[in-house]
Amino acid sequence: MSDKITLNLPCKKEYVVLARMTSSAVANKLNFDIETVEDIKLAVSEACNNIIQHSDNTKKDFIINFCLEEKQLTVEIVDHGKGFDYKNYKRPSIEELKGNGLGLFIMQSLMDEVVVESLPNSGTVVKLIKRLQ
Amino acid sequence: MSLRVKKHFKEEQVSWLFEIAGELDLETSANFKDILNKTIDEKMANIIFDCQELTFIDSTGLGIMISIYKRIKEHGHLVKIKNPKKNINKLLNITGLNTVFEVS
Repeated sequence: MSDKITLNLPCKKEYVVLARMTSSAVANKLNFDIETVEDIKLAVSEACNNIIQHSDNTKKDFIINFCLEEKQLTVEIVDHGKGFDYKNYKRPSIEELKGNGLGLFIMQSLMDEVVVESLPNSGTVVKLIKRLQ
Repeated sequence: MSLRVKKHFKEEQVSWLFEIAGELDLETSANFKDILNKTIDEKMANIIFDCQELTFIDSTGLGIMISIYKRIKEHGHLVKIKNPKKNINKLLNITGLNTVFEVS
């Protein structure tokens, strides 16, 4: 089994809920347990939030590809923004109580694998991978 | 989805109690932040979030809670989180915010 579902969303905060609802439906279809479905919903939301808040997306839309395989769900979130300097990303410090960077940290904590591909002014692809246990 | 907020002042605990229901996310957090700040402008106190009916929170929602915590902490007050659902409790643990807020 290898199915692909693509969502093309306007770069507006009111549409993140659609990404979340679709993530939930797709994860349920692959028979992830309820806790994992919640984790996937949140990770996808965080990726969308980062685009809307930080990417300066040069196009009106961004794309989410859900790739359903027998033992794995891969969600690719693609924007055409200014890019993200992943190499210099620092895990947020709870002692400093800063909210910056929390989204990516949450994605990394909840998913089995997070891959970020980005170049300056060429957009960013965030790949979220969750495997069925 | 939307966020529904009810607030009451509890004199005996010197606390604002916020019953929050629905989803606290990028879309709903700005309005929630305004409500919190106006409430604290009205009367500085502890803040209790009753999250029994809160089904979803993201980093934006946590950021609002952090910012209000910083504001009231300067005056010796605390943020308490009551009745978080399993997914929200997990997020508080992952981020370490369970050591900043009093969670019960």
